[in-house]
Amino acid sequence: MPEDIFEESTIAIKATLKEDGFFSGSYTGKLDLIYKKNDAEISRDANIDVPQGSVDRTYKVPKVEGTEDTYGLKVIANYGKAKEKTRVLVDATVWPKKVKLTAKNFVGDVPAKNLPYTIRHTSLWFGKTTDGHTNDAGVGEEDLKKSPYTIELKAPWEIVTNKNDAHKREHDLVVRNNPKAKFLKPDFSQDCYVAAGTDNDKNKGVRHYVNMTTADNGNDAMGNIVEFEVCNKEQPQGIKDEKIYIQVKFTKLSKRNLPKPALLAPCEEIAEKDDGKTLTGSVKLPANGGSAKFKLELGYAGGETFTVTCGYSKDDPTDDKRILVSWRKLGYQLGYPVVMKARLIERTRKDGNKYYDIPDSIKNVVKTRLDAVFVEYENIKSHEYPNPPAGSAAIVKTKFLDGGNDNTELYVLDGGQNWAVTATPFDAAADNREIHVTLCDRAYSSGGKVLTPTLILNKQDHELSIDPEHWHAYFEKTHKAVDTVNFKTAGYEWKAKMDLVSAPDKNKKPSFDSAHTAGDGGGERKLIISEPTVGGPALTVTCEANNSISPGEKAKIKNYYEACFTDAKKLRQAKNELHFQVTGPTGGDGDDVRLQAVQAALSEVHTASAKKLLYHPGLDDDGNPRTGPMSDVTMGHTNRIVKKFTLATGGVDKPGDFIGAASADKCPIAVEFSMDGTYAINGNAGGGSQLLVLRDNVPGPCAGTVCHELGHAMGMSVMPLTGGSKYPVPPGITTPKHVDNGGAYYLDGISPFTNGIRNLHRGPHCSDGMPTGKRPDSKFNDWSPGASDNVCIMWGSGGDDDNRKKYCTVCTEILKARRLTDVRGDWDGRAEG
Amino acid sequence: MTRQRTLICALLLAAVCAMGQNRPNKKSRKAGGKPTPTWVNNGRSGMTVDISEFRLPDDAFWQSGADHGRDPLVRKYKTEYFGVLVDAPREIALPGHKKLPLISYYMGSYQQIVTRSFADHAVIAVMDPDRNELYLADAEEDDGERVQVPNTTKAEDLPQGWLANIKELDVRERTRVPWRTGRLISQIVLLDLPSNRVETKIGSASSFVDPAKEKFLAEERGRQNPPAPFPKLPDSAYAQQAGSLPIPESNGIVLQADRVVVAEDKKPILLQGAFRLSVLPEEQVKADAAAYNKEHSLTGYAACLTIHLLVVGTGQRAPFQYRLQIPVKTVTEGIASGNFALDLTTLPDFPISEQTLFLYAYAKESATEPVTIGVIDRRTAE
Repeated sequence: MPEDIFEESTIAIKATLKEDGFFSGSYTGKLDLIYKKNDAEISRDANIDVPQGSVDRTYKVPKVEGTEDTYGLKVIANYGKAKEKTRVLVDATVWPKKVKLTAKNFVGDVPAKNLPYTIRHTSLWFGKTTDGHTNDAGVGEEDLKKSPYTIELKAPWEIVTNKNDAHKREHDLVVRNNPKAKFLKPDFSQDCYVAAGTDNDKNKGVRHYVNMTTADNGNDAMGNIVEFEVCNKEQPQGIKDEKIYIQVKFTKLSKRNLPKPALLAPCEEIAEKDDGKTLTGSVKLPANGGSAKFKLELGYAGGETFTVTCGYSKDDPTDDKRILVSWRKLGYQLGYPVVMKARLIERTRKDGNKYYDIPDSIKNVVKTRLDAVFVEYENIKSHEYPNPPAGSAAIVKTKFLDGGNDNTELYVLDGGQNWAVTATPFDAAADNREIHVTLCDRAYSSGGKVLTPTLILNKQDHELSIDPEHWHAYFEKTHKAVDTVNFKTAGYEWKAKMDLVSAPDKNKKPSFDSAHTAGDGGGERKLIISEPTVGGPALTVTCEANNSISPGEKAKIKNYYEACFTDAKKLRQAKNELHFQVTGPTGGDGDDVRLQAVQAALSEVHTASAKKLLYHPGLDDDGNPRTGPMSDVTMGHTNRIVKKFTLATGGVDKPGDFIGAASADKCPIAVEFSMDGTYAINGNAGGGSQLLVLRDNVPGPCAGTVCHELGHAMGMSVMPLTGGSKYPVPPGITTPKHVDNGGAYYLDGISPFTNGIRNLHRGPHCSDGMPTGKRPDSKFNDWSPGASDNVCIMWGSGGDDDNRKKYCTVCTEILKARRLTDVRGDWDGRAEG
Repeated sequence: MTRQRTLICALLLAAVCAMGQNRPNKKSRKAGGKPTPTWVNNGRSGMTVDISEFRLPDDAFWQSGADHGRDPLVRKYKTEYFGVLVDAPREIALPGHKKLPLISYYMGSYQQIVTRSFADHAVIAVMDPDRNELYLADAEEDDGERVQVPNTTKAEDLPQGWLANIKELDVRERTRVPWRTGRLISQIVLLDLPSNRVETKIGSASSFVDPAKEKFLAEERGRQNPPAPFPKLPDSAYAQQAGSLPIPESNGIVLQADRVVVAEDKKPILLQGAFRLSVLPEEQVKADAAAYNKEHSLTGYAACLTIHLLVVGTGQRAPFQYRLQIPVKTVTEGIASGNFALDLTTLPDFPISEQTLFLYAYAKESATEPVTIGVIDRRTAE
């Protein structure tokens, strides 16, 4: 086995030569020593005398050339008479003794002074390393050991290039100190980035709005794909084609799988582990001092935290870090009239512009509830518009709605917003991520009906509640058109309720009197009886010789009297009064006696008569209950429920003159009219618009309504609908269960009440928080949450109790998984749920 | 028949026989399903109303903004009738109109009206008589999140007078009834107040008819097998027994149940029915489908008729609908008659609770008046 020797060392060549075999005598004669380098002769000592078989010489070993790592040295002895005998006296590997490093710093191309290095002798077991430092010229020189070697730099230095082409032990090193990678983009110092945490530390993560459209490859905190840019931390130290490794760890809380979070090309060596929670890859710098880009698909789910790191270490590429938390941003335009301004709050945008918005008491609650599903709901623009003209449908005083004396004007809208006549249009939606919210103080459904009461009044100025049960709320103005009076009276009539007047009170004996008129009685002992208004032709009565009235004449008088009733209409026109006149002479013998006798007979007939006339102020001349146009009745709107009816007076046909409790001269009056009925709602939503009643007196429930309606816009709840109204499950999410298969979702519909169909509310909703025992019933046994209950925001109705404080677990999972690039369109037009 | 089924059958029949002596619903014994749908018998008002001379012309249903408070029906009946009347177009041209307008008039005195909430209980029932399909929906729908107002009104606060609550509805939109040529019979049921029924022809005389298509569809229906009897009962439950209701003399259905029942654990609530009805091709049992008939318990029957049972109640706002499949032994000249007796508690989710129920039956042109069952719930709490 060859021995290892250094170059330029002096080796001793000693040998004992025999003449022949081992037991022969010592050789005596001539000897040639041949020196071979790598089997090529480099030197020869010829004809050396060997006196007693002993050779003892020295040899200085030649240097290892710069082109060589080592070389093999052999010293061969040729001896014998003809020098026919050969013996290898030395067989060695010659190692170089010195190595020289000349190091320059990659930055600045200047000598790398005091550069700590290690010469590692790779074949040695012991003493294998030699440490050293370069001098001020960047040069270091070290002794080598008889071993191959490598050159290493001590951290934080590293070798960029190592050239020793001209001389293998003269290394021209280019070195650099502490190579680290860093992110150039995204740049969290930009204003568009908002810290994800409450401590406002962007290093701990920023909100990235995956549903927004980016204008800068995701470097504006928007978009589901983010382009990252990496480089050497000291950018000039970046070296062409060197790799910077990428690692992405994300929480993978959502089961949404389309698009799946992933590293995208030009990232190379893409791999994933930890069930897809860790993604790795690398990029190459395109040039010295250059930077490399790669893209990361974040998907659309909210609430995922992406910790993206880069570095030069493949195993631990954590030189720099970016943490993005996926959020979704939705916006709203807000419309309100001036009258509501006092109930709003002034805010300031980043550009300094001021605007009015939903008060903090509501907005903060909305924010808290939407934070849980990683949704921001921000005001994009507020539209303040003039108040509707006084007296219009949409401006109503509080006292009208609620009673009392509060003159505060409220903005009142119908469900279809037909009353919002002065509202300025919202700006055309810039995209499908915004909702148009119209604020109002009260709202009433457009699902109207017509109510036609027939009310019985008994006072000329009669005030009463016409809807005491509040089945229907209605307005002074119709919900259909603002210029039409809600209470329609045209074509309707009032009517005297004579059926409520007792028979004695309306069947009356006429009043009676008789008077004497001097004149010709028509002959001896004759007098003439007449009733000028209702009586027939005058009756001539002939008295007896004793000036009395015979039975026959009395019968004639009775007939004449009763004939006065023949024309009831005429008698009513005569106010049920009989005024008889008795015409005869005066001053003669017996004239006065006969006159008294006739008048007495008339009075006797009247007294004895049972004749009565259907006569009452509530009856017309024909004896029918009086009726007339409703224009005789003035309707006063004391408030929404209480109306005041004032009946006209001043004529026999005016109801105000005879209205009253049923009596001989009064009767109740029935009035009839129609009105448009509706009912109060907290708001509604659909097609990207929302009508919101600003209930700042109950901010929690109002916020619940905002979140509920926005929840629908975001695709809640998931039920088997079809067409544009279907709410599909986000890809990767298991279809949630409905109330008939162990879940909480339900949808209104018709019998049979199976497959989650129930008979309440409108649209798909969630019953989480309701006692499960109620679920089988088609109306949930008419259960509704009380003040202390806690139901899902997507429960189908709300009141004044703050019992819809959060989305339930199932709804939260779906909402976090939603692709919220569109909250306006039909689902047919929404991609990927 | 198993021993258990025999016992149930015996109990059922014994109870049915006893029903005739146990304060039956007298009015339910009248045959319903009058072919003239403009009539309505209203037990509450004690009136039989024929609205035919007070109906609106068809054009009126397509006018917007009309004040229906002056409609002839209102002027005629508002102060003397308590109940619901409905009117709808006699004919709707296709293609063209896409809705089935219906005007509902709920009328009565204030004191009467408050006893039945139209918003809570009114149900639209629309029948496609040619296909014998019944569609239901709430008559009122919410337009937004309704503000609940507590009802605290005292009787003395009610105004003296009458009220007509008039609602314009789109039956098609509300019930989602398929929109196709044919006839639809619309009605509103408000607990024990059924309205008159109005028939609307969908598709005018000028509508195009494809005879080949009609023939194909008719043949297809003719090949269709009827479903199995429902509820599944012993044969005797579908046979006439002593105490069974008499078969109506003309096409129609009658129902009978005890006026008051005490619901106790495992105690049946019995409903008797008798009917005379036309038979649709798809209701006929096909002789050449022996395997199907055997599998669906139709062997030995000539037809299996669908009778829709509608159940509404004072304690619930939801209507319940059951599709009874009643087998009959014979069909004569396209007409079948028969009886059935069933335990209502065996129907899925039958709404047993402390309330008063009103049961209606529908089949083709026929409909019954309500059968009233006052339920006293004495079941053991679960």
